[in-house]
Amino acid sequence: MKTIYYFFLRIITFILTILLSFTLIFIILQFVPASIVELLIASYRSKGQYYDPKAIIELRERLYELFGLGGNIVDQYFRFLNRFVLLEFGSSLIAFPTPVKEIIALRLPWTVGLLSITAIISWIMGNILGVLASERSSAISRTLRAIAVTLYPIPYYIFALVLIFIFSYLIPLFPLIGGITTVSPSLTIYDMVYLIKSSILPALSIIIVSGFGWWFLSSSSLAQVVQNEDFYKFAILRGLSSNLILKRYTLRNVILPQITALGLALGGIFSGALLVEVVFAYPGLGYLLYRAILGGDIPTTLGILSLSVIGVSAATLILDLIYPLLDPRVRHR
Amino acid sequence: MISVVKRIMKIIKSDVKVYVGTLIFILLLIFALISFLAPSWHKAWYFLPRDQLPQLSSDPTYWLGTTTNGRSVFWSLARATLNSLIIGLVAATLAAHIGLILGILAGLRSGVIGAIIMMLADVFITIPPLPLHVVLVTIFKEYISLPLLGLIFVIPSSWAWPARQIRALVTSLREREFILTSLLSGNTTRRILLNEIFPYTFGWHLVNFLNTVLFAIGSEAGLAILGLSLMREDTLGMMIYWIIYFNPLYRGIWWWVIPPIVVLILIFVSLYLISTGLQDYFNLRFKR
Amino acid sequence: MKSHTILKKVATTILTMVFITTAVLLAYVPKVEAQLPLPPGVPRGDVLIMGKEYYGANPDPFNFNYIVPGNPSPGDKGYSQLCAAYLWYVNTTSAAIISWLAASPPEYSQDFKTITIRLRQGVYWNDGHPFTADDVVYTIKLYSTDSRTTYYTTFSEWVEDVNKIDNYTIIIKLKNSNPRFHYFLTVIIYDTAPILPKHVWEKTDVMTFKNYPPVCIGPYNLKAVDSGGLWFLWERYEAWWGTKLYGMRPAPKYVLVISYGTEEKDALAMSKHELDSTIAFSPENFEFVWKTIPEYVGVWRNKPPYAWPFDACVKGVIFNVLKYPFNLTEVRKAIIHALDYRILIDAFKGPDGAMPIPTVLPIVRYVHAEPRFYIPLKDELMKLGLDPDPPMEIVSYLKPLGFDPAIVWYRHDTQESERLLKSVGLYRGPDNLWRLPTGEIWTVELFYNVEEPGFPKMAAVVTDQLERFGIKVEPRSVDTGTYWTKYARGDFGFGLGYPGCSLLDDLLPHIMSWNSKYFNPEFPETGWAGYKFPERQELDEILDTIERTPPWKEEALLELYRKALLIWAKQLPWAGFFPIPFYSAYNSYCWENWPSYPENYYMDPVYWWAQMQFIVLQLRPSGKCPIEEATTPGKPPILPLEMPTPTPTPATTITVIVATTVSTTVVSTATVTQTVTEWTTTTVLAVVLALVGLIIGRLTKKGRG
Repeated sequence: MKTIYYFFLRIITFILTILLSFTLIFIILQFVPASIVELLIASYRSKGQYYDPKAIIELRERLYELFGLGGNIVDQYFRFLNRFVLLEFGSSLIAFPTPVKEIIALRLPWTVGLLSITAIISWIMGNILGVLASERSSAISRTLRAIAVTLYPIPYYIFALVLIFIFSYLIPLFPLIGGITTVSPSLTIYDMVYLIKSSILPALSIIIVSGFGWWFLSSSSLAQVVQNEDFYKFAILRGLSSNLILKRYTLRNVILPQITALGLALGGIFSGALLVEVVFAYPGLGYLLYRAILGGDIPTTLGILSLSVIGVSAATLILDLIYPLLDPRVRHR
Repeated sequence: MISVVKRIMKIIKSDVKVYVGTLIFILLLIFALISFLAPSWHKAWYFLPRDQLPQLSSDPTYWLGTTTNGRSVFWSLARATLNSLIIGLVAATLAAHIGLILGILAGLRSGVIGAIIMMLADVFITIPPLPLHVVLVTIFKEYISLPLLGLIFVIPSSWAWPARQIRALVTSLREREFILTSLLSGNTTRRILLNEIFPYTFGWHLVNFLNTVLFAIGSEAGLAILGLSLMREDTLGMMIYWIIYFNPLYRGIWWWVIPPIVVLILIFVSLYLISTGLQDYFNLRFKR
Repeated sequence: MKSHTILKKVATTILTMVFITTAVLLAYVPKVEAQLPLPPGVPRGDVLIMGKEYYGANPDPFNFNYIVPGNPSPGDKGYSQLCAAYLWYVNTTSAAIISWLAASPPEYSQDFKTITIRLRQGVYWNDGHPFTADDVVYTIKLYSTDSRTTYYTTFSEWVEDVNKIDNYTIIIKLKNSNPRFHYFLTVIIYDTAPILPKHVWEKTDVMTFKNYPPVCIGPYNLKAVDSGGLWFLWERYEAWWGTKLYGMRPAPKYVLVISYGTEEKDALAMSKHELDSTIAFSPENFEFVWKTIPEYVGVWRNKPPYAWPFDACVKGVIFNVLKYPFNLTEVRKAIIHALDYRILIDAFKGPDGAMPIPTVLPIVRYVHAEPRFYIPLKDELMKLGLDPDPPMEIVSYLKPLGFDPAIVWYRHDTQESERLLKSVGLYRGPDNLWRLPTGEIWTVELFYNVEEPGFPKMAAVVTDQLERFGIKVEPRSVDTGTYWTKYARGDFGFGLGYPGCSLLDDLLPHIMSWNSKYFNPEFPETGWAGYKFPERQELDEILDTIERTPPWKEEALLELYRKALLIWAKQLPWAGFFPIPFYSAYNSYCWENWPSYPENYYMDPVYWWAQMQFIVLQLRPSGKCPIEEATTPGKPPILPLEMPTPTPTPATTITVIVATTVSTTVVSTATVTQTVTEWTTTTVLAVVLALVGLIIGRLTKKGRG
C-alpha cells in the first residue's frame, strides 16, 4: 500500500515539476529583448532590397501580426500550455511558418544518437578507469589522474580545434564536416561509412573530455572516499583479493551515485551540445536552440527546452523508481 | 582568531595534496594581484607592436609577448586571472551558501517548506544550464558589470544540486542515533544544527564550494566563447574569445594561446588537489 | 596490487590498439573526394565548392519558399545564385543593368504610371514548361494581393493592375507615378522579388508550400540537401534554355554550397582545396589561407592587396540625433574630431597590406561613384573638416587604386573638439573628464552588435580614443536580435552601425528615408528623418523632386544628390568610417577565371549574391583536379537586347548601357592529375608510430612481474 502511495506521489511530483519548469521558462523568455521581426527587417534592408519607408512600417505591423507576437501574455501562456500537452508548439519563428516539431524532428536523431552513445561510452570508460586508477600508490594511477586533471580544464573549443587540425587537416583521416551524404533516398553502405567517419572525431572529443575528464575524475574521487571507509580497510585486513574488493565494495558504492548522474546526463541530451555542433559542423539541437534564443523565437526555444525538461524529469522519475532495486539500503526504508 | 589560523595551517600541512594545491593557488593569487601594477594603457588596443614573441626584460610587459591586437599577454593574463577568480569566488560563495542553507532547511523541516524547496530545486535541475545562461545573459547583458556576472547566470543553475545533496545528507543524519540522543537530552534545533550536523556537511560544503568556483569560471568561459560575456573586461573566457576571433592557434602564435590554458589548468589543479585532500582529511577526522 | 596490473593491462591494450589502427588508417589515406558529401564516384574537378552564406546550420533546409517571411536568405542554399528567376540584374562593377529574363530594360510611359516589360522569347523552366507572361502576371498579382507574402506591402502600394498583352509582353499599371518601380524586380544587392512558375504555385497554399525541390530556371537543379542544414548540392541541367538558345554552359557539373561550421574550419578546408570560394574571412583567417596556398588564393585582386573594399555598407559611428547631447551638431562634430581615422585604418589593415578606403560620405567609393560624388564635392568636404595632410601610407595606397588621395576622413583635431564642446556648455572637470553642463560626468554608452564582423575591433578602438580624449565610455554590446530591436526603436544614444547599404549611382533607394514625411516616431532609428535643422525643408524638397525624376535623367539627378549629400555632411547625423574590407577569397586550384581587378573585372567577388550566376557561367577547370563531366564554359553570359519593333503608341524608350562582361573562353584540354597527400610523410609517420607502439609494449612487459 505504502509503495503505491509513494508511486502515485512521485508521478504527481513529476507532472508538477514539468509544469513549473515550463512556466518558469516561459516567464523568463518573455524578457529576452530580441525581436524576430526586427531581425527580419534588418536582414531585408541590409540585403539591399528596395523598400520604401512606408512599406517598412506596414511590413512591420504585418509581421507582428503574422507571427502572433501581439496579444496578451496570459492568453499566449495558456495557448502554449494547451498545445504543450500534445507536444505541439506551433510555427517556429526563425523558419516561419515551418512547425517547430518539424525542425526539431530533423535534428533529433543526430543529437540523440551522438550524445547518448557518447554518454554511455564515456560513462563506462570513465568509471572503470577511474575506479582502477584510484589506487594511490601506483605510478600509473597517479599519471592517469594527472593527465585527466590537466586535460579537463582545457577549453573545449580549443581542444576541438586542435583535434580537427591534427586529424582533419595534417593527417586527413576524418572529414571536416559532420552528417551524412543523403544523396540517395535510402541509406547505402557508402552513407553509413561516411556517417561513422564523420561522427568519430566529435564523439572522440566528447569521450575524452567527458569520459576521461569528468566521469574519470568523479569516479576516482568517489572510489577514494570508499577507500577511506572502515569496511574497506577491514576487508583488506581480512585478506580479501583486491579483485573482489574492487567488485564488491568499491565498484558497487561508486556506481550508485554515478547511475543517478548518468540518468541526469542522458535526460539532458535534448538540449544538444552547442560547441560540438558548431566546431564539428555536426547537425543537432544545440545550435538550433542557440539561434532560437538569440532570435527571440519563443516557440522553438520552448519546444526544445520542454523536451529537455521532460527528458530530465523522466530520467529522475525512472531513477527514483528503480533505485530501491539497486541499493538494498533504500529498499528497507 | 589565531587558533583558527593555526587550525587552518595544520590542515594544510597535514596532507601533501592540500599543501601543494594551496601553494599553487597562492601563486595564482599573487599573479592576479600583480595586475594592479599594470600600466594605465594596458587595456588599449594596438598600443604595442602586434604578434611579438616573448622577451625577457626588466619590464614584464613583454615576458609573454604581445597579441594580434597589440596588447601585452602578460598584463591581460594577470588581469584575466584576477577577474575570473573574482567571478568564481563571488558566484561560488553565494551559490554554495544558498544551496547549503536551503538544503539544511529542507532537510530539517520536511513539511511543506521542505517540499516547496525541493520542488524548486528539481525545477532548476531540469532546466539545462547553458541555454539558461544564454537567456539570462541576453536579458541582463546591458546592465551587468563584472562581479554581478557570476551572480546572474551561475546561481540559478548551481544552487539546486548542492541543496538536494545536502538535504539528503541531513535527512539521513536526522535518523541517526546521535541526533536522537541529542534531541532527547534537550538540545534545541539550533544547537543540533551547529554541533552535530554542521561538521558533517562542512566537508561536503567546502568541496562543493571549490567545484562551484570551477563551474563558474568554466561557464563564463563558455559564454565568452559565444561572445556573450563582457567585451571590455579581461577574463579568462574573454581571452579565449579573442583567441578564437584572431585565430593565433593556426597562425603559430603559441605565446598567446598557451598561457591562459596553463592558468586554467593551474586553477583547476590547485582547487582539485585542495578539495580531494580536504575530503580525505574530513573523512579521516570523522572516522575516529 | 592486482588492480594495478589490471589497469596496466587495460592501458597497454588500448594504447597498442590505438597505434595499430592509426598506422593502418594512415596507410590507407582516403582521397579528397571521399571526405566530401558527394555522390559516390564524383571526382573533385567536377564540383565547384562554394561557401554557404552563413556558417551555422540552416534551420529548415528543405524549405525553398522565399516569398513568405521567416526565410530571408535564398543565397544561403544557393537558390538565388543558381536557380531563381529574375528579370534584371545590376552589374555592380559598372552599375549597368543586365536584362536577363526580360529582353530589354523596362519601358515607362511619360507619366511613369505604366510600365511595359518584354520577356525573352523561348525561355523555359527546367521542367519543360515555357516561361511566359503568364508567370510574370501571376507573380505580380500574387505579391500585390496576398498579404502573407513578404513583398505584399511594396507591391500592393504601387500596383494597380497587371495584364499580359501577348505571351511575352506585360503591362503594369501603377497607382502613382514611380520611375523606379522596376527596382523591385531587379537584383541590385543580393537578390530581389523572384518570378514564380505559375503552373507550380497556383495549386498550392503559398504560406505552407515548401517548394521542394524547386523548379528552377537557372543553369542548375537541386540534387541533394543535407538534413542537418549544412550543405546543398546542385547539378547542372544539360537541357538548360541558356545552353539550347545561346550556347551558355557552366563548366562545373555540380555546385556544392557548404559550410564547415566555423570560419576557422572554412579556412582549413580552403587550404586543403576543399573549398573554392567563401563569403568573407577575417584578416587573420585569410592570412592562414594565404600563407598555405599563396599561388591559388585571390579576392578582388589576384595579388596583394587582395581585399574587396566595396562592401555595400559603410560602417562607423551612429548617433541618435533626437537625444541629448547628440542632438547638438557641435557635440557630434566634437566626437568625430576626437577620433583618429589613421588608427582605425591601421587597425583594419590586413596581413596583405590591404587597407580600408576612408569613406566620408554614406556612399561606397565605388569606381563609378568617385567621379560622380566625391570629386565634385571635394572642396566643400575639405571645408567641413577633412584632413588636409593625410599620411603618405594612405595616399600611396589610394592613388594606384584610382581614388583621389586628397579625400580621406575628418582630421584628428582634439583642440577643435574642445572648442566645440565648450561652446555648448560642456567642460572638463579637475580629473580631466568631460562633464555635462549639469555637472555630472559625461558617460557615453557605446551600443553595438557583437556578432557583426569587425564591430568588436571597431568598438575597442573607438572606446580607447574617446577615453583618451576624456570622455567616459561604457560598452553596451548586444547580440544581433537585441541590436536591431533596440536600434529600430531608437533605444540608444551613441554606437556603431550602418544606416543604409547601397551600390547604385541612383541614390534614392538609399536616401529616401531621409525625408521627414517618412519619419516614424515609433521606430525612429537614428532619428535623422525627424531631426529639425535650418535646411530641413530644403532637404525634403530635394528628396521629393528626386522621387519624381526618373533614374535615367542622370545629370539632373546627380545635381540633386550632391546637394542632399552636402546637407547631410553639414549635419553629420552619423559618420561611417569605411566599408570593412571583405576577404571574399577564392581558390583557383581547381577552378580558374575568377573575376580580378583590374584586368578581368567582369563582376565583383559577391559569391553570395544572385550575381554569382555570372561568375559560375565563366569559370573554367584549371586542369589540376580530376575531371569526368566538367566542361569548358560555354559562351559568355551576354544576352542580346531584344528591342521591340516600333509600336503605334509613342513609348519612351530608354537607352541603357549594356553590361560589358569581359571573359575569355579558352578551350583547354583537361589533364587528369591525381592529387594525393604526401605519401612520404604519412608512411614515415605510420612506421614511427608502429615502432613507438612496439617499444611501449616492450617496456610495460618489462615492468610486469
